Amino acid sequence: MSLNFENVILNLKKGDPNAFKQLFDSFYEKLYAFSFNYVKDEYAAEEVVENTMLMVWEKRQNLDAIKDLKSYLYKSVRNASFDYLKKKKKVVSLDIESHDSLFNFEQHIIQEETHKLLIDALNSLPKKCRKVFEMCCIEGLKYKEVADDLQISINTVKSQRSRAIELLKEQLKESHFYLFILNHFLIKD
Amino acid sequence: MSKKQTPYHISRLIYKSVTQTISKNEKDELLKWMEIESNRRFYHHIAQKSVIEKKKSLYKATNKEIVYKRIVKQIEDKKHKKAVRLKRLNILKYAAVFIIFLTAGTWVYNRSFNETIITENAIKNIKPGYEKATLVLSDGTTIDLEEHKNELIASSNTAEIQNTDKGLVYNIVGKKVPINNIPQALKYNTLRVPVGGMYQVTLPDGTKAWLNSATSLKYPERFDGEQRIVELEGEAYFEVTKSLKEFIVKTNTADITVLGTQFNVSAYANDSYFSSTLVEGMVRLSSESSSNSVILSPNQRAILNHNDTTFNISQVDTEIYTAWKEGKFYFERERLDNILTRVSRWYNIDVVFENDYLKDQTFTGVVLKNKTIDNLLDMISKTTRINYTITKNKTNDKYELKLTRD
Repeated sequence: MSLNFENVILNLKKGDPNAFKQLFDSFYEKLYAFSFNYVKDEYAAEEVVENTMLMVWEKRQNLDAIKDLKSYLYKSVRNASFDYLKKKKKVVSLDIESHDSLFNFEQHIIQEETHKLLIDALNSLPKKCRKVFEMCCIEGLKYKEVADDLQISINTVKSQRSRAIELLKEQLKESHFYLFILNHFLIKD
Repeated sequence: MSKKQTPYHISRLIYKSVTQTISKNEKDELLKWMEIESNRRFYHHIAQKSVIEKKKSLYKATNKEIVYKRIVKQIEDKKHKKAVRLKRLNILKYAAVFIIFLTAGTWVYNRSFNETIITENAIKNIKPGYEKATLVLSDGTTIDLEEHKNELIASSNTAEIQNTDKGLVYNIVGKKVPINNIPQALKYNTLRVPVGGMYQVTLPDGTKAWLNSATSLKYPERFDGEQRIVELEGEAYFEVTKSLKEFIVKTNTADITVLGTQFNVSAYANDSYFSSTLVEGMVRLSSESSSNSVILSPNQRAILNHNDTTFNISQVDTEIYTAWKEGKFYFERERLDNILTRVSRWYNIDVVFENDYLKDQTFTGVVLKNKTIDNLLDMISKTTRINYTITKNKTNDKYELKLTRD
């Protein structure tokens, strides 16, 4: 869920490829989808993120000078996306950068951060309760509707839903601790 | 309290709200944020099932693992390059380095199995160009020079034409201009180099010209009169013998006037530009579309785009534009479509781009021209996300190189 950034940056500065992989793994989809909002092209988004991550590796020695790594990544991807659009001379308004107000920029971040959390959470759930959870919490269907649709009892719907929520709550508690352990494990490896 | 303002915090709250894992305090906080109408609408937008489903499929299309491998590859390559730079290698060694990269990396990139087989078979059949040309004499006789190596091709009362290891050589027979001084009609010969060929010629005044693929040069059997005039279509490198008579290279786009010097001219009809690069001496360029003529100094290159009226002059490393005559492809920050235009002339293939985006990619590097084409293509596909396939086009029996996104 969330990375222990101090650790990752520390290890990245040492040139630890595992730390780089961690950073890549936790940010790739978010940054990709974020860039896609601007460039509207899968290939370009891929390349933008690829180049940004490569730049992070090259500048790893200066990383602690960058206070907020997350925002730094988003800003870099945004700038690279603009550069791409300029190069492509897409018919976007000339003052595209002023159009992309801080408000837009932050909204895009909120959207991608939220979606990554949600999609990761859904993927982490056991199949049965994932379906129930999706229908109840994301589609907003009533217990009865879900029960009819999946041909299970209302009680089963209720229990699967509660189970899903319990599991997600556990994850929220564990996430920091878990990644801390993982970091140490990987460094020794 | 500033933590509450960050988009990261807000997204966590939204996530918790959607998954119903939100606490009372957090919920109040979120509701406060949602008091702003645009925030409220935004919340409902990103929590929508269809929006999330769309994002899910976008995630699936991200090629995460491939991109990661590519980044690692680039990091590795950069380490190599740094080590290489320290040694200040000359060009030929650079070529060797590319080959090392190639062997080190071939197993990394993946093409689908069938395409690989078709492409590999095609590569075997695509041969690099070699020295070949035909000569058209003034009477229209055409001679295949490849079939008549080391022979006396023709002799007349004015010149003797030998086909030697160093190309075609013209020797003037009568040492002086005819005594009666009546100017004779000049007899013109045309040397034609096909696609996939290259040839050298020593003109009657001792001037040497190297003709690149798909090029023809028309010149008289002897230079009488006040000027030495030749006509070029395609690309040639000239080493002009010094003389008081101007030597003029006429092309479709521009004329180059010199006294004695070394320079390259590229004037292909199907290129979008004319260019001339000066190695030594001085040349004057003039063109009908450009009212002013320009003078080039050594290490300068002039470009005249077909839709333009002024010559664009820049300082260059002349080696880049003359390496072809030493049997090398030399590119520096050259666009892929320009590179492959030159490559296709040498290997006699057609080139197709899947996407215009690919044409804009630029490359720097040296490749020996006598290598098979995959030597160059692998260099390109390994350093970027460009893949290629080669198939035989049944309609014209030519091989077609197709560049695709990896």
